[in-house]
Amino acid sequence: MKTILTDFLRKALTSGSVTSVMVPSRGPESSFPWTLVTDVSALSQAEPVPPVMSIQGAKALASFTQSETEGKLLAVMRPCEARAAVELSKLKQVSLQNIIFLTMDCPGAVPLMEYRRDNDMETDITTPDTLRPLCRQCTEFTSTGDLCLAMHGGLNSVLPLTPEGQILLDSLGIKPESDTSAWKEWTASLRSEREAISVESTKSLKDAYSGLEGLIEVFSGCISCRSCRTVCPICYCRLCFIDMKDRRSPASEYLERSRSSGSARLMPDTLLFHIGRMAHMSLSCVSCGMCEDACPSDIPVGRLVSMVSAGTTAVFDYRAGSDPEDPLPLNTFRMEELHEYED
Amino acid sequence: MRTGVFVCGCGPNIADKIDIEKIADDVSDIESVVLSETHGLLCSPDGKKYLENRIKENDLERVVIAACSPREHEVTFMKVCESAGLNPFMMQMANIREQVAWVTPDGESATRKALKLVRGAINRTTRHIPLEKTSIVCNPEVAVLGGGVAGMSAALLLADADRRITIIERDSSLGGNPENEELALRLSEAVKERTEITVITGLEPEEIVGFFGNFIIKLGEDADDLHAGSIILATGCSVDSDGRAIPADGFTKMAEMLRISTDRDGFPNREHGSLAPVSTPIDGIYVAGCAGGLCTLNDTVSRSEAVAGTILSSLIPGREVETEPRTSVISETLCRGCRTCLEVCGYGAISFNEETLVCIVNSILCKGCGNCAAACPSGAIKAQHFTPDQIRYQMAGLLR
Repeated sequence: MKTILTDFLRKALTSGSVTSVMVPSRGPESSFPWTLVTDVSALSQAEPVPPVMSIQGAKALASFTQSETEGKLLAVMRPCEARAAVELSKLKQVSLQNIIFLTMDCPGAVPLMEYRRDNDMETDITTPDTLRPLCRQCTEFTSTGDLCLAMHGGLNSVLPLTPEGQILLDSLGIKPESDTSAWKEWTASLRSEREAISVESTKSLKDAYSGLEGLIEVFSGCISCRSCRTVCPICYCRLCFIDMKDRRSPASEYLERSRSSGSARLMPDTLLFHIGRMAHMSLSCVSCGMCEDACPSDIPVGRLVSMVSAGTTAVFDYRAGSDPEDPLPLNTFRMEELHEYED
Repeated sequence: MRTGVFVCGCGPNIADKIDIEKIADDVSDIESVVLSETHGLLCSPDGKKYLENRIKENDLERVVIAACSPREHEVTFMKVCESAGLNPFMMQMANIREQVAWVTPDGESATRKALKLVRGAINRTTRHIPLEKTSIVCNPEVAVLGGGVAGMSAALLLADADRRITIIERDSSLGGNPENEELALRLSEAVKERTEITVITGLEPEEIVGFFGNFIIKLGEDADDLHAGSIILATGCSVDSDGRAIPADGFTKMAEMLRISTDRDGFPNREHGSLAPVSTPIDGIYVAGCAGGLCTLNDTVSRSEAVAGTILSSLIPGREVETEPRTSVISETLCRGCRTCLEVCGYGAISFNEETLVCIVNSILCKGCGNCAAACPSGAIKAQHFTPDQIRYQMAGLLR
């Protein structure tokens, strides 16, 4: 996979069809920083699909593309990263103009913690137990962006998914494999396997943590490090609502609360933070699992947000990251909608 | 902080249902409250005088009035505060009539609920910040959209009164589709001779923002924005395949831009059929000639005279209009430039600065509706006088 993708990038850059390439590269101490490559020789360090996700690609992309980029940029990303970029474009944090996304049959990623203990770990789609929990249940593991490298069902070919993708393939003189039926069968079968895992995981989460009591329990281990927020590609506010000065209560309020029941919890907003994040993020959540991978307290925060997201996006018949033209549900006004929630 | 609480009986309207003495008594021990009393009818001339004196005598810094809906008398009591020398935004009303007395059947629960609302209002005022009203001088210039007989005759009348007028005609020359070509020609010759009248041809408004006294008409990237105090719609009409008169092509878009409502046929509604036949419901926007529906040449000219007369008697040079002080402000530090606010602003008051990548509110155009503050995903927008802090304190007082 690495070789095919890197060769493709090399070809695209050499031909002049794209001005730059965005790809993770091998850094010191088995790290994989995102790099913007303009010189073909630098691609020798490229690691298009590293075993871990240390920084969400969309976050890296948003760090420099709020305004239109100069020349065509080919970005190699996992499907969830490309989808997050689409969501960010709707929030005007990424300008999709001039960006071509190349994704792949994503092998998933291994948990960061485990990778730190064992740098030889590789991602392997055939051993799901080694993958991050959200990768195990991911159903959107392929066919995202403008181009997608299909590597299963006997295929080894970059397939075009959009006219822009087709134009790039044409300009490189690459003919994609025309018979994709076996690969489609493979994707369908993996998708249904993963759907079953997802249903099972949702059920066990609901069983274990239901209602307000359940939420309090599951987040009781939260150390308020806010890492989940920091690594989330969609969380893009400069100052989080939870940190706003307006929300701070004076001592008198704590004393009053304490007097009424004997003691008052300090920094009482752990649950508000997580529920707030679910409310703010759930419509755009791409289930990339960054939050859960970053959590030092082993809270299944990614699976929880993802579960909530499945519910809220269904209400609006919305799929985060699938269509750049599909407006964000909360920014859309329709005269007639959601009658089932009236009264 | 010196807070005065006034509980109004509203004649029998509130007093019959709610125990107003009990409310005045119950809130009197709140730390900031130095005065809490009842009154039979605060909005009466006597009541207003009484209120003014009490504010002055007691050096009140905050005033809470438990009475009717602010829609009814907020402006009344703000004026009283002003004449008593208190910033009107230091006053807060608790609506214990529409929200309590008229809807809560049981007197005891009504009194309990009213008390909560009053406590909320008192707590809210501790976070109030004085806001200053500003006024801006009206622009006496007039923009005429459409250079047909209607537009030209109105422009000529206004020019006679030394007003500066700009006619915007989307065709390449003046004239429109006149019933009488000779008259149209004569008028356009007359227009050309007047230095007071500027004619812009070949352009259409792309966006119109603002209000009476200060409209901004954007004519696209290549033309300067046009500023005017009033706008005359003289866009004419056409006839559809069934022989019915319909507004000129593109009028619907313009009506949307101006936020004026239209009738079944798409013509603009008038403020009043017989009393204000050439005024639209939006202050400062008038309808001349067939833009208001098919009419004869005589009618066209008399409508134009009516429009010119209305403008000359209202858009007086030097007249000032007050701007809304309760506007939204965007924190440049917090704004992420997502432009969600631009989509929800109904007044064209927000723009995006391409250099700093943040949005900015034009405080003259902002009407303080709060749509943007509610929609901002980053919490970067604050609706003044409805800040999270103020609402939180109101809630805290109410729920205590």
